[in-house]
Amino acid sequence: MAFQTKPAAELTFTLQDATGSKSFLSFPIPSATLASVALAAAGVMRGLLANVTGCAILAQSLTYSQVDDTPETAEAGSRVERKGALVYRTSAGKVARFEIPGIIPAAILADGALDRTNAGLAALIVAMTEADAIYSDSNGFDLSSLAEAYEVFRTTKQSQLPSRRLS
Amino acid sequence: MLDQQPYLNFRTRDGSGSFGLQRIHVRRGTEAIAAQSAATTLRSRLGGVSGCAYLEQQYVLPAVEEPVPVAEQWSEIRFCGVLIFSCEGEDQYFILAIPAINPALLETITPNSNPQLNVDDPTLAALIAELTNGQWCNPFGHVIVKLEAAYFQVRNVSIFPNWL
Repeated sequence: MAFQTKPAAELTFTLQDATGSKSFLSFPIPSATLASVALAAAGVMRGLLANVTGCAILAQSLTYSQVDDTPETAEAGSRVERKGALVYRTSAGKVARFEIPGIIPAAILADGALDRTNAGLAALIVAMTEADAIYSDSNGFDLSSLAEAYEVFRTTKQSQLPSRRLS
Repeated sequence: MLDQQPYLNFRTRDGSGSFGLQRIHVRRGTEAIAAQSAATTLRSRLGGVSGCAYLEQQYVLPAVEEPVPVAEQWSEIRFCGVLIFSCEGEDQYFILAIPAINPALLETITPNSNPQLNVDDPTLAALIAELTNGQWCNPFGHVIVKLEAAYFQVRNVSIFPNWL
């Protein structure tokens, strides 16, 4: 298993014309470009684009991607709909949820709570709240402590139905 | 442009072949290298509690324009200005299709030909100069070098939804 950085990061603008139709416009930028530099370049590009298109520029996103060129095989019987939900308290006094797809049965107790003595789960919980962790909720508030940890099942989408449906 | 909270995306696949997506937000101002390093560490922890295979990870920095801007009355995304650039390396190119190209940038050089774009127009020349300043590349990482062609094109639009 080796994650390789894609050669280019992608700066994508969302545009909308007078009829309400939307379009995407993507500009690759070398992946070694610092995010701060790329965002500054995005500001310049946005101004130049606005002079040549009649569309409104609604949004932008800058994405750095890494792909596993030799992906592992998933464990037999794992399903993305079976999740381990970790609910954290934030520094703003609210909660933020993080769900683990295909949670292993060994991390689940008989009553549906997650087993916090499971070594792998304990290491994950600590990694998300330790002093130098960079994680936050969607409003930017740091995760402070674990409030809840339990098993949850999500609805299977059409695209997630098994490829073989009759043994 | 109003910066939103950046986040990490993880793409996974389970034993039945289904794909899943995980997202976790990170602090603003986190550089890509630091985010990718943290993602690698987090992924190793997740591998200990998930039966899924982790296929891809992304660091995304989104932003939205506020207030919401209004498009020009004449604009339609299917009327594109196409710019073709050559890049470093043999047979490397980058194609950019700008939706709702400003009609003032069009010119017809010969009778019965498709309209070309006026690359001497200051607004278009400024865009071309920015793209060829050595900072931008094609999806394979080859730096954009020179403009090779610039023309008008009407593109198909999917009926539902109206995305191009």
